[in-house]
Order: sequence, then C-alpha cells, then structure tokens
Amino acid sequence: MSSLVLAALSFAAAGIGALGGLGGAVLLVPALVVAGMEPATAAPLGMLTVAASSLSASSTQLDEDTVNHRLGVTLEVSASAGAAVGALLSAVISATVLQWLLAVAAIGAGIVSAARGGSRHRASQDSGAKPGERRGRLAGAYEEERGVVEYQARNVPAGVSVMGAAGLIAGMTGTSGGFIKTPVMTELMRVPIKVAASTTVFMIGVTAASALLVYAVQGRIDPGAAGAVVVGGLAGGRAGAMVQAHLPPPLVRRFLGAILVLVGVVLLVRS
Amino acid sequence: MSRSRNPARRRLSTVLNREVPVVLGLGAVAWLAPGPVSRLAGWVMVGVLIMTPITRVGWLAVRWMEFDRRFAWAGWALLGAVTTATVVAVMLR
Repeated sequence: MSSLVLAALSFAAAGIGALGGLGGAVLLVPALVVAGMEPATAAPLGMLTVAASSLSASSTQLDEDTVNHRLGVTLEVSASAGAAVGALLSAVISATVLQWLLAVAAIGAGIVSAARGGSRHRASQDSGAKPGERRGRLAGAYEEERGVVEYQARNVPAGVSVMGAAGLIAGMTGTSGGFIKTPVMTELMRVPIKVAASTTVFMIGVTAASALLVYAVQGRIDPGAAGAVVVGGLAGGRAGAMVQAHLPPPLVRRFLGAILVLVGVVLLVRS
Repeated sequence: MSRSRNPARRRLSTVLNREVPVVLGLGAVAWLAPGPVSRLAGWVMVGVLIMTPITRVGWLAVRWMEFDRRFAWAGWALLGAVTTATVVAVMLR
C-alpha cells in the first residue's frame, strides 16, 4: 500500500474519529484490513496514531484540569500489562481471529458511540472545592461554566480488572481501547465524562507506548509508513476537531456509530 | 482557554504542546525524505511517541514519592509492567 494512501486513510479515520471523540485507530485499523493489509501489520500503524493523538490532545486537557493522573496510573497498570500481552499474542494468532476481534471492537465502539449519554454530575457554585486531584485518593474536582464539579471514583477493583481486558484487546488489534475505558470510568466507576475522557487520553498514550515497544522489538514498525500515518492522523484529528465545533454532537456520534458498525460487519463477512 | 492553576501541570502542558510540531515535522521527513534520512526521522519520531508517556509516568512517580507514596508505587508498578513486557518481547524474539 502506498504511503500516500496510508496518509489519506489515516487523515480520514482521524478526522471522522475526532468528530465523534473516539480517536482514529478504531476506524483506521479495520479500514487498512478491509483495504488488504494483514491485521498484524495494521496494528502497529493504528497504535502510532493512538500515541500521536494522545500527545496532541494532552496539553489542552492538562490546561482544563480535567485529567486525573492518579486514576489513570492506577487503572493503567493492568491496561498496559494487558496491552503488552495482546501485542505479543498478535504476532502468533491467526489473521482470521484478529479480524474477528477487530470486527467486535469496531461494532462495540460503534454502539458505545451511538448510545453515549450526558453527564449525571451536577456543578455547585458554593462548594469551595479547588479544581484538581486530591492527594491520597482517586477523587478531584474541575471547573465548568456553572461552577465546580466534585467526584470520587467508585468500584476501583472492578475498574482495574476491566481495564486489563481493554488493554489486551488494544494490544491485539492496534486500537486504543478508549471506547471501553471511557464508558468503564463513567458507568462503572461513576467518574464525570469530562474527567473520564481526559484520563483516557492520558492512559491510551501509555498503552500505546507499551504496545509500540513490543512491536518495535518484534521488528513490525516501518518508519516510512509510520511517518505517513502520524502526519495524516495529526492533521485529520485537527481538521475533525475544527469541523466538530459546527455540528450537533448526537448526530455526529450516531453517524460515527453507524460507520463503525458497518466496518465491523464488513470485517465479519470477510473473515 | 484558561490554564491550570497548578504550576507543575502548566510546565507539563507547555512541554507536550511543543512536542506536537516536532513529531509532525519528524513524521513529514520520515514520510517524504529518501531512504536513510526517512528511517532515522521515523525511528526518532517513534522514540518520542514511546518515551513521552513513559517519561510522564516517571515524572509523576518521582513527584508523588514526596507526598503520595501509594500512588508513586502505582507509577513504578506501571513502569515495571512496561519494562517487563519489553524484556519478554526481546527474549521471545
């Protein structure tokens, strides 16, 4: 596959992914496989776009004080271990199994994207809480227009367990696993969506680093192709974020959900 | 956009923000330049993308050792998991 096609696919996947707040790899890797690339070759390229998009979004989320590092590090221990095991396994399991996993990941992400709800946390103007993380606890607060939102993570052991499975899927398929991590934090651990999304962006960067180290040792990273997908991904992510500001979020999420389910079904049929 | 009130977060944000154009530039060279230059730029870019989150976790763990040891150990455990995975990958090569 030519590097121009790789860059164009990466641009389109990151752009459409950014519209729905999902990141591009969950769309890019299935698209590369549908275009004829082996899943084991597509996975490192997907993981490179995950790492690049995590880097690109991090500074904004740090400025907004919405990322909770303590929560991210705690959950990422099992996620990174899972990602590394998944990356090791992806070199030895069959392409058909990987295609099935990718299809399930794409359909799952599509359903999560289409069904995502609003926030259940209320802002308070007189809480007096300082924005930021709390020492010694998986808790914190952040500012929004209507006041300060305080939160405390719950069901931590269950969250850590599910993150291990999310990491395993991420490492095997080359997707970020963010479509599992964010809903686990909001629904199981009762963390506000803004904090969950920002913390996921931090976590997927670490997951990607862990998997990329394994892929690099296995000799599965092509530096030229890596350049093309990272440039396409960064440019597409920025373009998607600019367009997203002018579109109604529920419509965008349903559109993205439909595309992902379609890609998943195509992969299932092919495999 | 308002910036975090935490000076350490502001410093981290500035560093990460400056890395984005560097990665973009390295990616463009890796994509468009001829053979050895492309390979070098590509590997440097991959190295930056791998080392940035790992260094961030290391920085957090060192900071937390002063006042939040429980989470500092979680940070070290995370770095340990990443290192173990790399060593296992090398051994299985």
